[in-house]
Amino acid sequence: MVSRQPELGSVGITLITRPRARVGVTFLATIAVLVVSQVFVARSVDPRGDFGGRRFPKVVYDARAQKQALFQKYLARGPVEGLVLGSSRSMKLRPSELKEHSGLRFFNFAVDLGQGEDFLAIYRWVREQGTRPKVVVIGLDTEALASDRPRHWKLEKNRELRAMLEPDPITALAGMRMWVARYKETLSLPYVGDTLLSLRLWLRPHEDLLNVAFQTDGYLRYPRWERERARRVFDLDREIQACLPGQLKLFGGLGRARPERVAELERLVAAARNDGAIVKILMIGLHPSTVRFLTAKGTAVEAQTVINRAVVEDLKRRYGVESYDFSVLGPYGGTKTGWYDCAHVDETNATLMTRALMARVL
Amino acid sequence: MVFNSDIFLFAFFPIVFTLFWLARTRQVRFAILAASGYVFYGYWDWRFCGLLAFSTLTSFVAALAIARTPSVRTRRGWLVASVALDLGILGFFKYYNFFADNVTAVAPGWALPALRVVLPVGISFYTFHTISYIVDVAQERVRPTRNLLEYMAYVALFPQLVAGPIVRYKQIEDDLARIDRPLGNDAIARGLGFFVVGLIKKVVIADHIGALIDPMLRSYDNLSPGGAWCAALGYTFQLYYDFSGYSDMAVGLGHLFGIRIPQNFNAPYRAVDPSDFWRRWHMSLSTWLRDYLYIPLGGNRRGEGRTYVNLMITMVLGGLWHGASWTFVAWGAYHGLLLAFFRATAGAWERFPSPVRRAITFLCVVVGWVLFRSTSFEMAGTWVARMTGIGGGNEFLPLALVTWVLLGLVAVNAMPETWDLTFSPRRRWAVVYAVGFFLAYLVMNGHQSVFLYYQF
Repeated sequence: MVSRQPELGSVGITLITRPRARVGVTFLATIAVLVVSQVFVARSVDPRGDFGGRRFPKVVYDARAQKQALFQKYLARGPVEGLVLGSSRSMKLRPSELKEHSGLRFFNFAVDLGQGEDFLAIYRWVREQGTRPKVVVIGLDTEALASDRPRHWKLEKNRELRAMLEPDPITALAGMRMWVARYKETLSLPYVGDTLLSLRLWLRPHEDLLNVAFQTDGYLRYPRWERERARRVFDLDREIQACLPGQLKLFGGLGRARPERVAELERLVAAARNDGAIVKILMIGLHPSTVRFLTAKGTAVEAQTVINRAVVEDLKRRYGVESYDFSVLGPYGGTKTGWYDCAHVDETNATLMTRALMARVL
Repeated sequence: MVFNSDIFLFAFFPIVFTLFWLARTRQVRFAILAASGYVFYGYWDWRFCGLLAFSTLTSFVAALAIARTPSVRTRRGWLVASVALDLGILGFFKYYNFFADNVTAVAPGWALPALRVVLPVGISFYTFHTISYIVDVAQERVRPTRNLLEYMAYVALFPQLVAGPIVRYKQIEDDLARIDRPLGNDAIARGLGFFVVGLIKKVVIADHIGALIDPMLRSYDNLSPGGAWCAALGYTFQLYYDFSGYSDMAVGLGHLFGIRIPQNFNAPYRAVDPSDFWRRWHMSLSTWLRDYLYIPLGGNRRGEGRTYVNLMITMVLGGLWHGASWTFVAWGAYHGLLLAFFRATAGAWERFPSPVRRAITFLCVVVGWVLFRSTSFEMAGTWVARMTGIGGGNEFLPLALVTWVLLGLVAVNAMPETWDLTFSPRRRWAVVYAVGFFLAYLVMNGHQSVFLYYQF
């Protein structure tokens, strides 16, 4: 392929007019074949659970679907008396520790990017499984009631959970876009990597290859980070730096609570209280440096925390829920080092959180 | 709009390409090229399309007036007025705040009002396009076009509109004259080949290096000596692959519309002296500065002393062209000094073996990039201090960056330039281009980034 091209201005572009489109057509046809092949493989293997595939292991978690399956198995072995709802930031609340304090058998049903509507859908679904939790713990993220996001697409594609909710006009409009986005996402290097990893796990199951894994009670483990900590190569500063851009994206459009989302949280609280459950809402925060970073970047992270406090106070007044403000470290005695990244606590802080949460007599 | 975005790849380009080749006449093709340029530009901020149109129209009219006027004095008047207007617009939008800040700092009593002036993307590039056109017409190096659509298509030609290369009218005059010819397989092959190579340079190499060094440079005070060197070398390669990648993509797009955009890079890190470097780096800018600034200043025709002064003026203004910041001025001055020093010691310099000259030149360029990348002298000073082992920090040095730096060193010294490749129009090569594009897209999907030279 190496030889010099004609100098500019010396030789005109050679015109080969027949067959004129040979190169272009071959180029486009090859692209089409590659795209179709990649989409077909990605859809068949479905490493992230985007298309409902069940044959191959999932390498990027879809906590909603995975925890539904885990919950049913967990329920088959005994009653579920306590339920943890929330986002990934609540996934480290360990059911066994909650049981130590309360004597109740808990299941952690926190899901990635869980928002008000997720909590309501999950609670209703759990009730449909024939169980009635005595305690419902809701981990409320700073952005869990925010207005700028539609329902999470993993909730939308989950027929059972979606059926627990009323239709969402915003999501209906965004549906087509999300459908395109889901297929487009398969055309990325991380997706190809996940596909290969899924195939590898299928051939030789091995937990150590995963970044996250759920225990049977819904408790989250981070195999990679745990491994790094055991080898003393874990670098919290590095993880925080790597995680900040994602948080900035997440908090970029925040400003006010979305009324529908607040209403769905209220419906959940009302239903749980009506079922006789104790409802504990804990406002889960971010690493202090993340809050500083997001504030410096002009996001409304602080304002949203204030909004959440007002919503929780209102629920406390009207429904008698218990509230715990863990958006800062002080109230539960958390430490700056007790984190895995800029938004997720580790076992140490999670244990402190659990202790503070359950200190009040049930 | 950037070339490595979905909106460009899957909407803008296919539509413009299809419309362009469906059109049969020159005028319609010019109209499509001009309109697409304005859409491309307006996608960033439509309000500045007016500025682009104004600059285009004034230079078009001025060029015609210059060509029609026999009087040297009147021609000069048109030339000066038109160039002054272009430079005035550029100066206001690009340098007003800089000027006002410095006046306020030096003489608070004379403080100028602070204005919220937004820097229009690409203004430095299209202003140089129009200036070169007017000057070339005035010096009778080119005959002015009477076809407004053709001229609008030239100025607003989207492949080179916002980040170059700085294309002179006479360089693409022939292609514009034959814009109505059919598209050939060779042109498609070159277009696709250049574009894919450029895309790979940008999204696979430059963006990955950038993602590694940007966090390090946010806390530059904490750089270790090794980290400071890796960051400097990393930026050296990031800038090259980013900008040469953009230029390759522009060249490729040009070919797909039957226009041959000139070469902008020629293995610059293989230069054996500073002068050689500037013959290889951002060639369209360096030749522009040479032809429209250095030579009109007298070049090297007015004695040795004046030559040095001219070199310094040219390089300082070249530095300032990159941005309204003293660090760019200092970077320009640094290269001016390098060129002057090289000129003064040329005889002795030539006696060194070529690899030694190449290594020293490369080292000088890398140090220059520290100034170029730094947002303040404090940052540049600290960075250079860390490179020399003064006050080293303990910044985490990613292994990936070390790997990229080593690969970069090998690549810039051993790999052929894009212009050294011949892009075959054979079918099997089309498959290679497609695979390259597909792989590059897998890497870039979901990680859109802008080109570094968009800010200039």
